[in-house]
Amino acid sequence: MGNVDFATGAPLRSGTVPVRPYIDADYYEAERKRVFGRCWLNLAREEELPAPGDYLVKDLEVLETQVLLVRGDDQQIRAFHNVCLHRGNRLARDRCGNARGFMCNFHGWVYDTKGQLRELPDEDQFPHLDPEKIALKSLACHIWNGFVFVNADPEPQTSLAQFLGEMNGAFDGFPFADMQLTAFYHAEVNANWKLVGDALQEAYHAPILHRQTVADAVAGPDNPHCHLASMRLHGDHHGLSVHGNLHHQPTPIEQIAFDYSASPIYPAPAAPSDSQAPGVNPRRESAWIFDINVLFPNFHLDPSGTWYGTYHLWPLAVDRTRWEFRIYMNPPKNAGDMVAQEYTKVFGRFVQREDLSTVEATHEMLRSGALTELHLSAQEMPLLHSLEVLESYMQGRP
Amino acid sequence: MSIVNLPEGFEDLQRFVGKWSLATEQERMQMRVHSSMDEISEFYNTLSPRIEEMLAHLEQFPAQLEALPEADQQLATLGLSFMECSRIFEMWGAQDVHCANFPPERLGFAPTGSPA
Ligand code: FES
Ligand SMILES: [Fe+2]
Repeated sequence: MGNVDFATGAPLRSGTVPVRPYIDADYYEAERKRVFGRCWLNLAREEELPAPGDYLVKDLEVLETQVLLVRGDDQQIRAFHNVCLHRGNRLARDRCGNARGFMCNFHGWVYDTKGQLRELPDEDQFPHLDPEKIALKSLACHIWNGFVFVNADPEPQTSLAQFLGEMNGAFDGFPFADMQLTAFYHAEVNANWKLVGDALQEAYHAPILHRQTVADAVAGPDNPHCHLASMRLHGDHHGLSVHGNLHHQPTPIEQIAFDYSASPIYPAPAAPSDSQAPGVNPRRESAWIFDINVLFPNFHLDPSGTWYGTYHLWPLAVDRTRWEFRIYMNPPKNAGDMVAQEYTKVFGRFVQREDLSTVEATHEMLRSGALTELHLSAQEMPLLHSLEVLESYMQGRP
Repeated sequence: MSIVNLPEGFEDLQRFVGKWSLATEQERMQMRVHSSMDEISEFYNTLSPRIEEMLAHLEQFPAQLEALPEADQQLATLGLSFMECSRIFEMWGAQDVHCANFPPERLGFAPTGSPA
């Protein structure tokens, strides 16, 4: 099971990868510009900005900027560097809100929600400026399945659709917009962003690291090493389907909680219907729990039958990452369902802490320089693929 | 919120309200990790045969704590604390996962709810 790339039919590859990309400060500096400065990055869901004038401010430390996302009167969501064009003051000061425009609190320049300068106090004293030609510095901004992506490259090399490639239609029909944010946890982790992401894109660790939590639900006697149900490479991105143990015996409260919840973590719907998004569990395996999709470089989109999760790995420094995890579920039907959903959140927190529990120690040990390379099994091919894609950006591929 | 009587039929759980009827997920997590195993096992053992009745009772209300009458709101937060404690207790008789490298305090909690 899961020993070929489902997209191409090619056998999975094992291999060796260098340590340097994880620990080297110069490598990190180059990564910031060549990868994060050029790739499409997910910053939000469009439901976070439902009405004209709604805005969000997002820190993009890796590019040393702050992004202002705002929905204009024309309903379009735009992205700007949150900086006033006069002398560079930070423009929006709240993290979110609704505004008809933005006034800089230094000298009072005012911009509308499309970024156009609307008021220029004492305009006569700027004879060299044409206020009509002044607009906030924008970032390319596009929406895919309700996910708001930006690209900081002043001339993006690809459209979002080109960037996503074969991932584009994979989630058509998945009810992202019907689900609601049920939990959002975040942490600052003292490890390279790729070490954090790597821990979240293979299942080889599940029987060991998750022995206290999810191991039995994903690995059973049929599949003791938790081989993936399937895997597929799609250009810069990839997807993997995680096996589910059909013989898993729930504990009493687990059973009750999932019975009463509209979005149990598992079991996933037994016979995925044709209407299910084509890229979700594409082999329609019945022994399946959820998928992991890594949208290069730092966004994981992990759908199951009745819920989905996301991870964002935001680099803060070569050895620091802001980890963000969100769970979206069907809105609870009633207060009983809401209480039952809590079980999933608590369970999720335990699993997340286990996942984060090795990465800091790993980073410390890699930094020692004792190792120059790491060994990946065929089941860990997603890590190999991510590093190959990364290296191609680092080599400045057009 | 001040302590009120739980809804009819749940009087026997009243003694847990002062400690466990907590409004936020973070408070409930803190209470779990700062409680003794005796407290958790008494809480789990008493509520586990009642949790289905609690969930069934709560099904008549919308999924918004604030929308519930005070007594039912307290029953709901008691149920939320039960969910907080039950997973790790029923599997391992423990209060937390063994995860010294990443203690629970390191997780930040952000507001949730609709819309996303
Ligand atoms: S810096 Fe914004 S108005 Fe002067
Ligand atoms: Fe994991």
